[in-house]
Amino acid sequence: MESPMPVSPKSPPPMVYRGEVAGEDMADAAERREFTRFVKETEPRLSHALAAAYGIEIGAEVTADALAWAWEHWDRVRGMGNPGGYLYRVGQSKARRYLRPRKLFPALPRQETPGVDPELPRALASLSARQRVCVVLIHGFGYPEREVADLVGISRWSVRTHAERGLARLNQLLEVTVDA
Amino acid sequence: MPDAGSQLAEYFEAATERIDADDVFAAAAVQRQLREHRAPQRRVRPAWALAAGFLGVVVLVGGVMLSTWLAQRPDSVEPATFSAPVSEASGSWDWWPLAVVGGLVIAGTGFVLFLRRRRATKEVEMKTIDEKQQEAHEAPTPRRSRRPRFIGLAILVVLAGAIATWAVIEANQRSDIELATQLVDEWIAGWNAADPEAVAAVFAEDVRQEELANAQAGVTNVSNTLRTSELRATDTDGTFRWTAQFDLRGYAQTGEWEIELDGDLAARIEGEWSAVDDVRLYSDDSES
Repeated sequence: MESPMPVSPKSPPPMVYRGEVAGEDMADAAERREFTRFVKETEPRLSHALAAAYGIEIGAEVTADALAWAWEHWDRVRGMGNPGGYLYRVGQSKARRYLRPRKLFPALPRQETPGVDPELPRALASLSARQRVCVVLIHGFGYPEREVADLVGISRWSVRTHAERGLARLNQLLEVTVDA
Repeated sequence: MPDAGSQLAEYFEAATERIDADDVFAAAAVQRQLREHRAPQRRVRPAWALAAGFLGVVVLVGGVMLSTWLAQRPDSVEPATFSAPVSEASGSWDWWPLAVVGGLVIAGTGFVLFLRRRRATKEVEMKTIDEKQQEAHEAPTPRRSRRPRFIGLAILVVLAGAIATWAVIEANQRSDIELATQLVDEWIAGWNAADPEAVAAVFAEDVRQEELANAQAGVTNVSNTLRTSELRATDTDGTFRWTAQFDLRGYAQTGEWEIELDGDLAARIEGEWSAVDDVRLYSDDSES
């Protein structure tokens, strides 16, 4: 019986991707659950860090790219000691392919964010990328300095310095008075 | 207003699009479809051909420039010794324009193939994504950067322009040197043949003889030795100089000659020798 798709003997073997061997049936449900847990744990700080570094729009794109890469290479990623930091690097690499938009941080409607100063997007854009990442993760979302240092790949003291300077700059631009 | 930290949290929670694992699985499925329909990769990728061609051109041009620099270094020990004839020296460089053009053709072909393959892959991708997935991707996405493409193209254009300019300058210099050599040959032949018409044909119409003393005695020996002397350009304004060591009436002599071109004729020929009085032929324009 002839094969419906004749294959040349010189043709390379077909590439096999995750979940493809026997369709979705062969996808390991345990792996999916494990990856789902990983995404729940890692995605927030990864997406916030990349959004702070590269802007809201590109940050979302490269976060999706980095997580897709993680699923495709899950066997490698699951064994890493610092998968979040590695994916942050992946996101940085992906971000190089994008042109920077004029507005990294668009202004949001007031009804959606009543507690946000309209000058905040402009003030954020005036900070350096590392200052933004550190101040957003530490002062915005309360992540420990150690986690931020592992994610960004710099020392804990550098994280603290960036966060302090970024916050001071933000307070100055937003004219926020800090009580001692 | 709340403090900056609270504002940051509120802003990023509202602005950041959250991604869950199902989004990742869906994206992976789309990527899988794209890979299945993507054009098979060639063994010799156009990008590699482009890189190889570019590197080849760089190495080639660098080698030629280095060799040229080494060949043009002045003799440091014995400046008055005989050198190789200029015709043999210049003949060894005839291969390099062809090699440079070949390298540029390879680089350009690789670049065009690279662009064509990217376009073909994009068309396949657009056909592969079904309507639902297209709708899901209808949200405006940041434009992909074309900067590497433009940079590569700009490098090629600049490189091609630089090589072309260099080749033109080099060719002009070489043709001037050959012309000067030819004029000297004709001039010496005219003297040896005692043919005033042949000597006069070398010079512009307005040339005048200022001084000529004892030159005829050395003409025969000069003509024999000049052919084995090195003729090299010393200036870019049309003045060429060669040095010669020759035997004149049993004595070793050295001297320097300069030729200044006016179009394709000699406007000035000046020679100074250790045992012969100066021989100078000036154009009216150059000697006022």
